[in-house]
Amino acid sequence: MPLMTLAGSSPHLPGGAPGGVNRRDFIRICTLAAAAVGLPGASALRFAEAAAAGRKPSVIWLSFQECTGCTESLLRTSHPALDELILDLVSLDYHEALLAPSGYLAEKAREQAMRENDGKYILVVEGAIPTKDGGIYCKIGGRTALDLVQEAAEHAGAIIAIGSCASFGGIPAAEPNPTGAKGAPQVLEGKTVVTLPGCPANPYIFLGTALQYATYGTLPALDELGRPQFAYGRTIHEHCPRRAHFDAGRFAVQFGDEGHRQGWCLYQLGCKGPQTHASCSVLHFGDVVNAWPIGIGHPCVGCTEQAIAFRVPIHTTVEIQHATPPDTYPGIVAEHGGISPVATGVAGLVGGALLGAGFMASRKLGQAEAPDKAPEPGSGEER
Amino acid sequence: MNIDIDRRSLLKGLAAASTLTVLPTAAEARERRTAPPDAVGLLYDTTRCIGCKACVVACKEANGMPADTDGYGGGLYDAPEGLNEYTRNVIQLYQGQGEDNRESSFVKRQCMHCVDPACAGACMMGALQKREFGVVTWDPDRCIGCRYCQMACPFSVPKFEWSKKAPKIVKCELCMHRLKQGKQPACSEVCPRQAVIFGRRTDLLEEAHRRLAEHPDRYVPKVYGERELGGTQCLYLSHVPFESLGFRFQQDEPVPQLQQTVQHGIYQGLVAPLALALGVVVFRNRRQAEAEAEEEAP
Amino acid sequence: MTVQPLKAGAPIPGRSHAAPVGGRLLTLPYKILLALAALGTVLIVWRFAAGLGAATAMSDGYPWGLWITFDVVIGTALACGGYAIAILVYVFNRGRYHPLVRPAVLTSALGYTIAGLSVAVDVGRPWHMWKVPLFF
Repeated sequence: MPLMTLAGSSPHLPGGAPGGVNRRDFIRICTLAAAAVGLPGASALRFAEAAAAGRKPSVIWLSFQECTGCTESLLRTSHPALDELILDLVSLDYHEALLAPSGYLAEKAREQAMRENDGKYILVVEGAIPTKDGGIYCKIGGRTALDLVQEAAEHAGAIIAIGSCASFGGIPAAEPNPTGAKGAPQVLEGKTVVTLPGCPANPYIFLGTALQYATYGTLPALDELGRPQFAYGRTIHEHCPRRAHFDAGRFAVQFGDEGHRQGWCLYQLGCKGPQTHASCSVLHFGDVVNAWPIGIGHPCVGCTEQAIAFRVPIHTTVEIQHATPPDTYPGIVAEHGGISPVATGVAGLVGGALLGAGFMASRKLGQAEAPDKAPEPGSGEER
Repeated sequence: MNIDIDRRSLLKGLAAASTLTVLPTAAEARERRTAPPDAVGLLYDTTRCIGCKACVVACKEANGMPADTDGYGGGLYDAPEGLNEYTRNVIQLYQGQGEDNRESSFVKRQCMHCVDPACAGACMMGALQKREFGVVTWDPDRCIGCRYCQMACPFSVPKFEWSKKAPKIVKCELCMHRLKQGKQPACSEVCPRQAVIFGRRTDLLEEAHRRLAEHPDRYVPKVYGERELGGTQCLYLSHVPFESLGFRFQQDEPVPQLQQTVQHGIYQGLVAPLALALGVVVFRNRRQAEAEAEEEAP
Repeated sequence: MTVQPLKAGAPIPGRSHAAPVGGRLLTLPYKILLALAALGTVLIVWRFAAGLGAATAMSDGYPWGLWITFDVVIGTALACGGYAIAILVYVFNRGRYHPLVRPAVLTSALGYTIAGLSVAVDVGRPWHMWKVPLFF
């Protein structure tokens, strides 16, 4: 099924790379995707070759309780042909927002794609899945989200949950969670689900993961929550461009104050960076430099962390978990105490008193003995 | 008080006592210790250090130590003011006092792993000892927590866990667990400017003298730790006087030299004290017998 | 000198005469000291429960404090008195001032006991103290 062409994008040009961009730009995009996953530069070429040869991975993209932000972030670029380019690196066989057909035809397209790529397609889940009351709070084509995702997961080669909602429930799961919303790993127990939390998730993380799977058949190293370690292995605090200000104790205390204007650390304004694992500080959004919260002067809200996102108030400070030294130094403590004259004096007095007392005692003993010197008659005592 | 003793007996007793104490001392004036053949250590060069504190962070990580966020850490930073129960390695800053004094230097402080350690000499349980590679390590199975080592160390290195119910002595052990795996200590491995390097003591001394010869104007002409206090395995090169960096002692005599001489001279095996006690008892008994004999005789 | 037969309870000739002092045990001074001892016991328990840093003002800058002075230094000094009196009386004095020895040795025993027990409280890892004779 042909995909809808988005308004404003250039049509395919004969020869060269798909999407109408020249080969160099195409390779550059592939290199970026490879670099994002931490794969060697040579992989980029393999991505490009596979894509150009039409061996694009089939992607079944299911959308549930979501805002479509993750899709939008995938498409939001400054380069006019890039959205098509991304769509040409993967074969997006089902995507409710982007599919040309709708209704029964759309569902048939999905079933066909799932059949043709049984065991090989990449299942992408966007949005949370309601579980309360049998999951009736999200139904597509008369079937509950729960049902759809479980069926699709059975035959998928890889499962990727994109965005915080699909990773752990996100906004729908915030208190009081009236629909019993859960993330994909929670409803697909026992299955390996790559989670890409974030609100939205950074598209290059998705791209790199999907392309690695498509090219090599492997998934990147995941942490205990299923998050790729290349993207979620460090906290924002650990690679934040404003870290030097934190270490030096330079904080913005109020929005608009001098510190804020100078671009100082936003910790005191509630930045969740110290407890948030993400790559936003090095991989900005929408291909715009500094298009990320701290970059534009707002503290990180911790959107990738289940314990923080939509739970901890945005301007509440968090604890620093791995404290490191500040930008200041302790001095040399070179003074040492000695024996004070007072102490010497007291010791001398005490010592003198003891000597004097001993002397007096011995004299008294000597005097006491003098009358005893004469031995009593008959007692047998000598001397 | 009339002390009932005749001069001869008194002199005999005193002579016996003093011989017992003097002889052992004269016989075993303790030999000066030298560095063991496998001695390894660090060479720290203040002219290369940039105060980045990567060594502080690496040490904490390699030894599983908590951050010291109390005090001027303010809950945010790991900011120890010196070595303490949470900190085995610290970077301090020396700044010259006074308007005209623009001197400044960083200094890395950790255990010096002395050739003749004061702490090992003072430790009555043998918990602190020089072990493999000449590294001074602490044995938790022997320590009774008397803190003699803290009193003895001329560099104020061993720190005590005052906050714990089962306190340990905490100090740098040159990452012995890494040395045994053939790796170098965490601090020297991570230093981005090779300000602190790891190696055999002989090699480090050679390198230090080479630097002194190559740039005599850059350094104070001394390798601290070559001879000071009997020599240490962690050596220092500096562009400011060593006293300014907190190294209080410059003499060659090791701290335990006199103490060990006396202690092992007089008290070795408790022979001399027991002999003295025995001598006194025998002396007294003999005199008692003499006195009773005199009593019996009409 | 003939040996007289001893009567039960009669003083032994030539020896010091030990006799009970008499009087109440729980006098006011005794009660005050008892209260102090009770307070001391509570503080010893506190020292073990809370750790040395919490119960004392000792720190890395002052690893030895008043405890070493009062307990070890004064305790052993007291005990030294017993040695001194014993040597003086038994060796040089031929036992004439024997009545001095008993209180001196008692004081000495108390001194060493107090010093030893308080070292066990002052020291950070007293459960290894039994190893002292092995490794000293």
